[in-house]
Amino acid sequence: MPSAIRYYRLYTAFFLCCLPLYSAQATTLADQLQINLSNEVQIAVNNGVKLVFDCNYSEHQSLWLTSRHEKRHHHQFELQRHSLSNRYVVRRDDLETQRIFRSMSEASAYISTQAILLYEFYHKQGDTDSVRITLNKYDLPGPMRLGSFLTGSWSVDSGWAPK
Amino acid sequence: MRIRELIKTATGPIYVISACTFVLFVLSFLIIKSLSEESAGQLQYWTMLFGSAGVALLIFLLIASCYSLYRQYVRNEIGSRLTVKLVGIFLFLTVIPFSLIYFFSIQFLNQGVDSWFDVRVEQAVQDARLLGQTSLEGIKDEITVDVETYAKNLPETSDASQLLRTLREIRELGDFTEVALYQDDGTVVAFSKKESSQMLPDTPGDEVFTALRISQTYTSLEPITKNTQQFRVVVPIVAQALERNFYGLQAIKLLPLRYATLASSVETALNQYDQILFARGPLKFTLILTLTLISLASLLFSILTAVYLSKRLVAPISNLAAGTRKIAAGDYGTSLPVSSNDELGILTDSFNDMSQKIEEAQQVASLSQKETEQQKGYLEAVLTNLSSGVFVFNREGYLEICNSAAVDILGISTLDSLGKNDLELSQQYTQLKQFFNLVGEGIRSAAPEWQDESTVLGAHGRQMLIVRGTLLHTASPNQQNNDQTSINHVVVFDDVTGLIQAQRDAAWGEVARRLAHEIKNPLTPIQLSAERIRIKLGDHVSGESRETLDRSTRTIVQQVEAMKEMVDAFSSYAQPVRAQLQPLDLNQLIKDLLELHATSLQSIELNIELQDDVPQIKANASALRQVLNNLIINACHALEGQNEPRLRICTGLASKIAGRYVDVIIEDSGCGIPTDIRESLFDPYVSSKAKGSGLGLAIVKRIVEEHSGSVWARDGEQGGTAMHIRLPINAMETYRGNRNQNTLHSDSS
Repeated sequence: MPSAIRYYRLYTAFFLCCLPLYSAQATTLADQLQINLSNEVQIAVNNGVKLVFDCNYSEHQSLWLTSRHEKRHHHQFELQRHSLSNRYVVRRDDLETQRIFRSMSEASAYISTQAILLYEFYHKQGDTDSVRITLNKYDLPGPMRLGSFLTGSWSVDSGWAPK
Repeated sequence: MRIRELIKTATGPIYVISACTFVLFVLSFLIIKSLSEESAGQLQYWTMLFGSAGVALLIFLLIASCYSLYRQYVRNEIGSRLTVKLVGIFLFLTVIPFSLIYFFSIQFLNQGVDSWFDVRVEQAVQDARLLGQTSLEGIKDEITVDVETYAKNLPETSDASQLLRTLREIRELGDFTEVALYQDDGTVVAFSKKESSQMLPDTPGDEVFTALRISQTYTSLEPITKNTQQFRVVVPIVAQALERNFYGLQAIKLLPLRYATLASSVETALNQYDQILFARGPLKFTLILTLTLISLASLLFSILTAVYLSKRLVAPISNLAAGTRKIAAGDYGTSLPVSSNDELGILTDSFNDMSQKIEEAQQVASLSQKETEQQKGYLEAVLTNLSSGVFVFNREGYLEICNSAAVDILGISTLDSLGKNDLELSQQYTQLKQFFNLVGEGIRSAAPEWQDESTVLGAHGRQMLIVRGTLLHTASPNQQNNDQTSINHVVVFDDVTGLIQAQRDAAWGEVARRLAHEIKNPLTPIQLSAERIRIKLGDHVSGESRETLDRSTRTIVQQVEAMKEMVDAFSSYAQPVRAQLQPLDLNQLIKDLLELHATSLQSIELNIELQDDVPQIKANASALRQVLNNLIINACHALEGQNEPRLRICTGLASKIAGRYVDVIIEDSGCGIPTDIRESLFDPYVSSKAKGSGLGLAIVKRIVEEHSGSVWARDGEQGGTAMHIRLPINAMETYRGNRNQNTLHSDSS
């Protein structure tokens, strides 16, 4: 037990020491939730592949030396190219309407903005203090799943924010 | 223990392989299922993960098996080389077909996937895309023309209500869902919507106002929902009215349902085709990777099964080889487990039978050997305790067996005698030359049985041996042909000296007794009668008759006395020498006798050579005194009338013979032994003297022989006769069967 306490104190001290550095590097929530798609992913989107982004809202819980995120809410955003109009369409799972964007970056920025708005909404409710955006590889077309598992270019994960 | 046995059984190779087979099939099924279903993303992920883990496990097991096999091969364990050969064969039979199938599968897969994407189909899709886009562009152009016309005809007014009415009219004329007027900064001036429930217009994006500022018309086709699309046309208006310079007239019109449905269908198809086209490469990769995974798993499974089956197949052979080595090392009775009913099981069963029979034969042989050893020990005990001497000569005539009785009787050395033939033995033991010559003659005669007598000077004196020989046919174990037998010569000899002596004693004693009884008895009455006649008739006759009577009766009495003496002398000669051998100083005895005969030896030149190293001998002192006395007297009688009478008496140890003997030589310079009696000199009643009983030398001979010695006469160096007596130092008790063979071994003094 004394060794565990010593370890916890060291961890806390290390964290506090790194906090200034961390704080200096701390970015806004928008920066953290910014979606950066690799060239391979962009090419896939331009070739009709639909991307599904999972937005998970959780409450961070600490238990002694461990911590976990208790998921509270979940939303999905679909990003797909409309070939006839050469536009990028973003759909939210709980809305029937969709947003159209001329560029993929605008579409991905919209997703981030929506995720932040929803986070603020849930955060005000008091049961959410973290949000995370990830690309759902399981919803990719079958032939592309294996490649997405094996390569890192398909890894889109903002991590739990704010950090 | 039962749980452990269950676990051990459950983790046995056959069960592991069966489980691997089942897992392989399930894995293949899951992979195919995950590839075919769009909603099986997580299934595909976990399936590939477990599949990869399974392949890694199989690789690990294969490496472990190969390493184990390699170590067995290096240590040259039984069965390892055959296992390696079988594994190599299985690998050859597995890898090559697998490789061919895998290569051609890859080729077929690539060609198959590529065949899905026909150039004509792709062209048709592109044409459909272009057709759709063109038709939609046409509709958009028409709408654009109308909106531009409406924009040109838009009156310049500052009345908001009028502006609203104008916009409503435009909307109704053009069947737009919305008409709105914007300033260049994006501010809504006025709008009219078909849906009165919507309070705000559909504000365009920044790109619209960017186009307005450069006086360009903005047109776009915007999908609203999956099956709904709208045209957005924003036309720049340059007006100086309303206190603004730039405006934009936006008109939004829904694509007709018919066109929308078709457009949506086309869009969906285009998306799917684009997706498929784009996924061709990943599809190939996925399929190839899945094929590789399954092929690798199958190949590894086959190789592991090959290794296991090889080991299982070789196990009985290894057991047989190990069992053979054990039997060769002497571990008979090795039993191997029979684990199958095939030819290997039959071979193992046969091996067990052979091993059991070898063990039984070995036990029988061991028993036979024990019996043989017992028989041999019995034979050796019999030979050792046999009173007869036994020689066994092999077919080449060399001595192979010599029992202790033979050693004792002849006084030879076993170590120095074994391996020699009769000639060598006769040369080695000169005192036994006659005996070994006799044996050699018997052997060379090849008679099945022969018998003879031989007199030798053994370790304990003169011995008379009865020698019997016979041929012994035995089966030789060294002969390749079991029918051949070796011929050995068995020579058995007994020392019958004592027996003969006892027989002689008995015969002489009987003769003496009969003589004493038959002859001596009538002598007394004859003598008495003669004396009575003389007494009775002596007074009645006179003169010449009286003289005749006296002379006759005197003659009768004298002759009767003489006959009595003769009978007494013979009785004395026939009387056996009683035992009671005592240590006797022979030199002293001779000195005593010389002193006794000093008077008669005064005129004789004496040469006395008594060796000091002559030890005491075991003898009957009175008997030897009689012997020496007789010989001295005979010598004195032979020297009577000689000009230079000389008498030589010497003693010394006998040499060049086995055993320990003392020689006594009494040599005179007399006239020697007459040739007519030389052969029978020692027989009774043989004499060269006019007087005497003729029993003197016979008695001498008898006494000397009773002492196990020997006496002979030869011509002396001085011209006379030399009487040679040889006496053993340790004479045995030979009187009437007192001889005991066992005392030969203990008689070492």
